[in-house]
Amino acid sequence: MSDQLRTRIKEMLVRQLKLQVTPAEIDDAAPLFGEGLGLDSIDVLEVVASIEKEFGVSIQSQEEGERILTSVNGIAEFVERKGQPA
Amino acid sequence: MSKSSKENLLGGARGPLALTGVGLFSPAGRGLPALQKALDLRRSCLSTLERVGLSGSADRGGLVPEESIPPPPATAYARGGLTSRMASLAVAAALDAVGAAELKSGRVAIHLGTALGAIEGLEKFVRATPGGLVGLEGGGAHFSHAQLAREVLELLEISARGVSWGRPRVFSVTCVSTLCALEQAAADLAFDRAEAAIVVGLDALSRFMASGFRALGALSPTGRLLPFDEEHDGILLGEGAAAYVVETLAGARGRGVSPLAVLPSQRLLSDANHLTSPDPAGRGMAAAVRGALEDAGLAASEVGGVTLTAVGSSVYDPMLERALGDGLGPEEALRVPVSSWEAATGHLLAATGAVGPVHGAGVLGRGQLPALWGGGRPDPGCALSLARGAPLSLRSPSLLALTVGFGGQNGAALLAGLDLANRWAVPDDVAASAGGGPDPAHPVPIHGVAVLEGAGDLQASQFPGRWNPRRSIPADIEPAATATARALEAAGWWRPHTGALVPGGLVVAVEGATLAPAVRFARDLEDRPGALRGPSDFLFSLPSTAAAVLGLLFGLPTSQATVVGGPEVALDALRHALDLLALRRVERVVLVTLSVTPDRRAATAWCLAPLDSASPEKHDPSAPGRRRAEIACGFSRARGSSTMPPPGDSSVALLERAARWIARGGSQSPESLEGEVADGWIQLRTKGL
Repeated sequence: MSDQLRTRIKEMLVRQLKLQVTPAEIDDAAPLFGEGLGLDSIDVLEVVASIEKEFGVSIQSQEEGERILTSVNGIAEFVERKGQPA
Repeated sequence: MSKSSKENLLGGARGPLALTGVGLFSPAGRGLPALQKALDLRRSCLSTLERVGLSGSADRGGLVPEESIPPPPATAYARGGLTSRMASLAVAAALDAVGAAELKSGRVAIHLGTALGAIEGLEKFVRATPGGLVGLEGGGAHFSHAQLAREVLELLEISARGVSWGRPRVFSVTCVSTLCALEQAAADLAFDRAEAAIVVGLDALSRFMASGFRALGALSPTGRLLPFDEEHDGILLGEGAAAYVVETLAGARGRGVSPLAVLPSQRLLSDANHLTSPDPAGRGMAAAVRGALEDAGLAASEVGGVTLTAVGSSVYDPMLERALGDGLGPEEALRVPVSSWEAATGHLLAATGAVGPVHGAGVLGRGQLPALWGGGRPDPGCALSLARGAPLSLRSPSLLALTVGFGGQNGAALLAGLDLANRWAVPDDVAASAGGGPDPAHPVPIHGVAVLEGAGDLQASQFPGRWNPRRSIPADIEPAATATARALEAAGWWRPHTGALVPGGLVVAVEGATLAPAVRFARDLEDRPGALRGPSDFLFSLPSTAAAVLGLLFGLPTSQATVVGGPEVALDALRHALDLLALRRVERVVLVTLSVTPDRRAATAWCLAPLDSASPEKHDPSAPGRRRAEIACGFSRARGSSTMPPPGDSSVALLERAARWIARGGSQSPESLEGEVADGWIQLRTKGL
């Protein structure tokens, strides 16, 4: 996984979710939900839409989403596996 | 039967409200009998949605048959305006209710509940006028709630000339909008501002609405509606308009009209749990159920039946089951028969809060709940006595109609047949003489006030409530959040990093409600059909989302109303807030005005409460923003001409001036301030306080 990809994902999260943290403050492995970034169920849907728009890859099911949307690393692995970043 | 306090009834000291006429346009067609027939025959009225431009395999919902909608009067066209389909639907439903109630004259109030009533017209405009939306990015005033209210009043005045119509107020609290409209109608009757009131709920099934619900994951991805089924995976939407006439029971009897039912009580509680979802344990709905029964003095064992909304949802089905267990007690929750009309129609958005009483009147008349159908694999974990596959008889002539809405909104309305009506009736002379007297009913002390123009200065980390401290507060809402924080601090009702100190109601007046995301969505339709940039685009097009965000930030609302539309919106919201206090529907109210236009963002916040329930803390009049002042408001035209005033000076601007006057503090000169808008006035005074 490239650092560049992870940075893009963090920038996407900060921009789309209007977070009051900088991309650099987001830990690659920190959980996105609960004690990590504290995202909620609406944020999940926002992130799914953003990933599709930003990287051209779509998450097909809730189960798949639960596996992928664990951390920045989880999203990066999914994007790399599904296709090259747009 | 436990003893009720007459003051807690919906009609206040004037006794229970009587429901004397209903009107309905649903996917089953025109009238309540059409819906009852569909339910009797187990005929689904759900269809594909090509008519609104949705053609996916899961795009199914309930559309009102076009042939069932009467055309607006020809004279409406003669006035030169295009009448929107939803205005026509609302008026047709209202006129059917008026006809059934044999209401031919008198002072009649009308209050509307809708989430996005105007959006359908916006989408039609896009389809009919490619490129025509240029210049509408700022808010789409032609498709605003204010315009909808204007059209409704014009049509009513043309169609029912013998009636002196009050100016429609528009309440927008997603699917519980009409419950707020009923609160206002009840206050108008309690204070003798009207002899009868019509509550209308309406919403269209538009592409924007459907796309928004789908983006939120609320719709069934399989296009099936499976209430309390093992495979339930979401709701399906419908559209419609439902209306009912309410008046005091004594008033109805005085006219010689036999009511269809009585409406003794209602509770609307927000659990401020989430922008969309309720408390999963159902604590908010359970409290609403208990409150409605307590107000009416009815025991859980006396409830004849229950109707539910938003069925088929994997969020709401289990929440409603838990709420009934908590609200009625585990034993009664298993015994009381439960059903819903939504298997036939889908979830009718803001119309659904009015369908509850309309459908409920029919249920009480027949003595039985309709069958609930949809799936073949009942959820084995659900122990409710559902009318699964066959109607169930009511245990008694009473019915709880439960309605849910985004933002953790929980509504419980109690209806009862005439057999029970005398339990709440008051003597005719008491009913005639009771009430709050002429406006202004009760000048109310102001415990904290703040005004803010431009951006706020809040950090999300100051809020220990349910708002994610890492999330920015949306820019359009930030002025309201900042003003609210300052006013609450001044009142001693809230502190940063601490949270709410006292519970209270929240009433938000939204001026220039930004339909910008909806307008953008409609523009995108020209290039990319079905495009929605994410669930937030939808949520932040709903006028009620501002109140939902404030609820999450401050943990405040025990009840919540958003009033939208027209230059009088802040006056209407202030009146609503003062009425809630005067009738002791809540102990305290935070009133917020929010003005969002392309050029300006501004907000005021007001902490209002009688002195005896002001604050748990010692009153400190020297605190910034806390001034001993009172506020009152009224309408200069209680009867007579009801022509909608043209847009002029905004009541939001008037409240901004008033807030600055108070915030200046110190020796006030003059000692009172008065202001007028199109058809009302407010007065503040410090003299003698």
